[in-house]
Amino acid sequence: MLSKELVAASTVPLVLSVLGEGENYGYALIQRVRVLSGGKIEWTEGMLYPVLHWMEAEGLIESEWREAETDRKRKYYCLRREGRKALQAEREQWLTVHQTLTKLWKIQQHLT
Amino acid sequence: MENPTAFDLNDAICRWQDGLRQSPHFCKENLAELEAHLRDSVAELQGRGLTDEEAFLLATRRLGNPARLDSEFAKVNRGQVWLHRVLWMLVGIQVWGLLGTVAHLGSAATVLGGLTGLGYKFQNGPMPYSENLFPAVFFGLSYLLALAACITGCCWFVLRKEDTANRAVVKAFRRPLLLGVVASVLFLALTLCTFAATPLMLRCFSVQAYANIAMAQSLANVVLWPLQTLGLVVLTIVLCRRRLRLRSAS
Repeated sequence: MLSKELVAASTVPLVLSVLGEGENYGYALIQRVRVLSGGKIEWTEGMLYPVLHWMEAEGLIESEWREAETDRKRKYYCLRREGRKALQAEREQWLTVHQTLTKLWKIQQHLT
Repeated sequence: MENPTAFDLNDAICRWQDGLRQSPHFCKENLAELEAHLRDSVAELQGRGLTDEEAFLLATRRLGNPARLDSEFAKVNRGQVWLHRVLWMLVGIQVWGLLGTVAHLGSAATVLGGLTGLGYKFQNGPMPYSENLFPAVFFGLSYLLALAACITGCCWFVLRKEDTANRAVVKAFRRPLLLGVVASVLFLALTLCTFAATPLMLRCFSVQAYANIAMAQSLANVVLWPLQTLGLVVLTIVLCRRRLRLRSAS
C-alpha cells in the first residue's frame, strides 16, 4: 500500500493520465487506477470528486452529464488543452523522479 | 406478510443523501454525482453476491466518512459556503428586527392600554423626567418580557421534537431562503403597522400627550439598547467558547 502523502501527490497526475486515454466518469476512473495498480493505490472514493471539481475550476478538465446505458445519469470528465499540457509536465517530472531513483538503486545494488 | 424490517436500498440511499444534505458544503450536483457513484458501487458489489444491505454498507464505507467528505467539499465549494453564511446572517437580521418590532408593538399597546385602563393620564404639557420615569419603567419591562417571550417561542418552535404533524413545517423553516422570505415579508408588514401607529395614536392622544409617551419610550430605550447589545455580546462569547470546546473535543 502507498503512503497517504504519495497517494495525495499522485492523484492529479493519475487522473490526468486516465483521462488522457479518453473521457471517463468518477467511478470508472477509480476502478481503472485500482486495476492498474494491482489494488495498491486505494483512494477514499468520495475524496476524488473535490479533486475533479478543483481540476475543472483550474481549467484542466471539463465535464458533462450524460445518460448511461443503465438509464442513470453520470458525469463524464475529459481533458482540456490545458490539461494535456499539465499531463505532459507531470509526466516529465514523475519520469525524472523515477529515473533518478532507478539509477540510484542500481548503483546501490552494485555496492551491496 | 411483508417483513417490516426488510432493507429498502432506495430508502437507505435517500436517508444517506439526506444526511449529507444537512451540510451547506454539498450542492445539488455534488449529491447527484455521489449518488451515481454509490449506485455503481452497490451494483458491482451485488454482482459479487452481496445482499442489498451488505453492498450498501460497504459502498458507503468506501465512499468515505461523511465528516471528511464534508470538509473536502467545503474546500472546493467555498463561494457557496459563504453565500450560505451571508444568507443566514441576513435571515438573522430580519428575524431579530421582526422579533424586536413584535415585542415593541405588543408591549407599547399593552402598557398604553393598561395604564389608560388604570386611570393613568399622560399630561398635556411638558413633563419632568422624574414623572416620566414611571411609564418608562413599564415600557422597558414589558418590552423585555415580550422580547424574551418571542425568543423563547422561536427557540421552542425550532428545537421541539419533530413529529409527523409538524416535521414538514419545521423542516421548511430550517431552510434560510423560505425563512428569510417569510421573516422579511412579516418584518415589512409590521414596519408599515408601526408607521400607521403614529396617526392612530394622534387620534387617541393629544400632541403633547403623545410627545410625553414618546419621551417615556425614549427613556426606556436608553437602558434597553445597551442591555440588548450586551446580551448579544455575551451570547456571542458563550457560543464561541462552546464551539471551541466542541472542536477541541472532536
